[in-house]
Amino acid sequence: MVSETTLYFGFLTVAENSRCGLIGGYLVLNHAGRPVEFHCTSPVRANRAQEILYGATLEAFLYGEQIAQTLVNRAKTKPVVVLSDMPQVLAAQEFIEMPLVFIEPSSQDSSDLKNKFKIVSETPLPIDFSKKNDGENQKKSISEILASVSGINTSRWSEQKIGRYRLAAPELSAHSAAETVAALETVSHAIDLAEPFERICLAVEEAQRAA
Amino acid sequence: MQTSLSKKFTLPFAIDENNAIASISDSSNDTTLKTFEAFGTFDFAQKPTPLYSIYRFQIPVAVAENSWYRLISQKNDFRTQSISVGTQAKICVASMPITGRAKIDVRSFYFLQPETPLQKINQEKVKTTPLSPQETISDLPQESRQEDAANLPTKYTRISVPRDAIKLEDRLNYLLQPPLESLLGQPTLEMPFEPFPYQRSGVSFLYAAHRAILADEMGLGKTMQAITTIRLLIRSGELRNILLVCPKPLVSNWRREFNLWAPEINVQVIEGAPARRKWLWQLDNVPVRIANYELMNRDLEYFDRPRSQGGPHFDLVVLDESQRIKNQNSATSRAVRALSRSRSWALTGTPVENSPNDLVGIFEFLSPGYLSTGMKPSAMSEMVGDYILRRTKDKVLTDLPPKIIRDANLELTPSQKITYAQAEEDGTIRLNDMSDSLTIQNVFELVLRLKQICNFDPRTGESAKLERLLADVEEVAASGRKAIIFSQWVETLTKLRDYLADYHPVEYHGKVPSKQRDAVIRKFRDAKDCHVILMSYGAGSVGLNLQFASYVFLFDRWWNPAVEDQAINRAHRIGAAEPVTVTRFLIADTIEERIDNILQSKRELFEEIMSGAQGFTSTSGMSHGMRQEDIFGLFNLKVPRSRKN
Repeated sequence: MVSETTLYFGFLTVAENSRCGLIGGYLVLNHAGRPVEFHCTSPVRANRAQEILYGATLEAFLYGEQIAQTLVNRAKTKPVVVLSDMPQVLAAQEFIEMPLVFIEPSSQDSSDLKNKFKIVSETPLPIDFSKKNDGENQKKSISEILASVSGINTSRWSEQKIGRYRLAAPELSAHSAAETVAALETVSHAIDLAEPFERICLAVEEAQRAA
Repeated sequence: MQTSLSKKFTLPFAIDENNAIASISDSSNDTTLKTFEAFGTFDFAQKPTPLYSIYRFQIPVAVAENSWYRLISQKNDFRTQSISVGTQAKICVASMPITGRAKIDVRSFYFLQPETPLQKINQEKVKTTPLSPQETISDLPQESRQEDAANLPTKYTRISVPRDAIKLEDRLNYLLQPPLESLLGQPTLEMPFEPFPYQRSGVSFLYAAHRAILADEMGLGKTMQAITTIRLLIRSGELRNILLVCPKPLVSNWRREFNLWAPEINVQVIEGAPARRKWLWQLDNVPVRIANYELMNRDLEYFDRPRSQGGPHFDLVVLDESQRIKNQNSATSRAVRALSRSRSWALTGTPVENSPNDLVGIFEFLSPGYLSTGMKPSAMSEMVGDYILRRTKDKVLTDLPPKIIRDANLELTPSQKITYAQAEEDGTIRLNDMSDSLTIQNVFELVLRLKQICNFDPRTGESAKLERLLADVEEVAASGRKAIIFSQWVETLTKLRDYLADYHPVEYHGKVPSKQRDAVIRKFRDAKDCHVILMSYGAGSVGLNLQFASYVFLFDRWWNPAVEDQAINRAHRIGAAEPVTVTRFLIADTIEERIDNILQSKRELFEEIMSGAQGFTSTSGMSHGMRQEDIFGLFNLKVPRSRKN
């Protein structure tokens, strides 16, 4: 008799549409990198009251509470860890139980991503990915990147490295950072940890085109 | 002694608790390297998920400090992924992919140190014990855990979203699939060779396609691309029941290729007595079945029934050399179109051989009614672009050794000239006298007669081509190389066999029984003194891999240069280590030259139709065959009114 223990991994990113706001995409993969579940949000834009109310922490509110929390909680599949390539998303850690890991793709990946969209889009892409890991972030340490985002208790996250990727994993009471990293390492041969964000961007773009 | 583990983590993979996990005990204090045997037999037929799983083996061993080891199994087709063990490590953990075999008997493993030959160091009978899902790999050194992640590719090939996928849900499903590099790079998916980038693009094209023609030029690996896509789709659960139809001589080739590129997939050839074939058509537990065109019409009654009445249904039907159904009124075409199927792929290097209607015939299988006869080539080109992928060697295989074409324009010997002139004069007069009773067969007979005289003078046996061939083959043999000689006539090949006896020629044509053909190829490949293989276009022009031959001679010319290209590409294909020299014999001022001129003039039509296909940039020698009007025109004859369509 076989006992099957399949782990799932979540990938969450946020793109900005200059006309209508932020769009979140969330993809859950199994250990082989195959998609299990995908959700994306409608465009989210802060109203005037929220801008005044949240001030410097507005991004953390929008990315973390409004988008990331909603997406992760809506999904039926519970991953062991959720990765995001946007540090603002870490603000959602307060609302979700699984570890939320920030991963910093290499600069090459970042520029490739933008280039890919130029290729796949016949019309100019309405979504701006330039906020994702710009060149400036590449020069900073992980802790500096996290510190630049207001509204996040960055002391929980420690810098880790898997292959060519730098990442920040949280120390949670239920999951140590080392356990989280070990979980990611078990699938690092099957999943390029930065690659699923490209899939999300392609899917978000397709969904927007259809909308 | 069980090694204690400091950190624990749940393994993400399926664990067969009964018999799949083994560990060696009590070797941690031993400083010699260990191998072990008798893991036992793993019977995966009992597993509810038969396609594949990954098993992890806990193997506590003592190892040299700072050493890296590769653990591999005894069988080449059953390798583990690389593992490593470092200083202080008392345990190594290997992932072992199990890929769909019903039963695997693993008896021994070897540790292989880098830069040392494979050595079996010691053997030890071990006890099989299950590994708890809670045990860990975290004791592995950091650098080893990061090795795989660091070797990931930086550029990815995405699965193409077919344009006929209308629903957003379907489109998202394709976009969210892993890139091909990930799919092909899984440890459970051993690839015998690294695919070329264009082959990954081909797989990406086929992966999502429900209707597609892979029309790559011969030798670019259409077979491999189709098999790899099938393999991936079987693993993803999208395909369970596939039928491949190919010409009969290629059945064994396809079986070999499946064994190479997808060894875990069971393949069943539909053959034998009618009762057996009937049973094979109804099988539903074999993922891939191979049938040949020749039996499709005969077996029509076994599959031409709706699913509701118990007729077989296929998730995918692949037609190899699909130009075989270019005539949509042929019995073969009707038979393959009767197959109940969800996906339809056609593989051909020559989607258009004679006229644009050839493509209409193939599309009647893919998407009935999508094209119609008489369409303008430009309109057709526009419509088929999304469904056809065609690449040519000159664009994608820049590393392939060059193909050097030498046209040997010869003159008939004096004796041949006399015989030829007489035959042509007599023949033409006779044809003219036939007036309205003239048929294409009458013209054809004369053409064949004249072509045969160009080969050998029937009166004297003289041959200008033979003289040249003997000189060339002598040079080929002296350099230790091998040559393929093509002719359309077995009789010509038999004559050549006698003249070339010093070079120990082998023959491969319609009179050589199918069962002996593999042995013929093996002899040609392996026997050092065998420098020549004599082949007929019909038997040897498709599907064979003869890239160890450096010379190709076209002793006489086929009606259709596409077939000649197929023949040449037996040698000039992936794996060719040396340039391939092709010598095309052509006798000046004869029927051969006239045919060649007509065929040359038709290349443009093919280019026009295929210009819309994805990836297409050059025809690289592609062209059309001869039509009725062309054949009559060889002797300045007009098609009799009664023969016109």
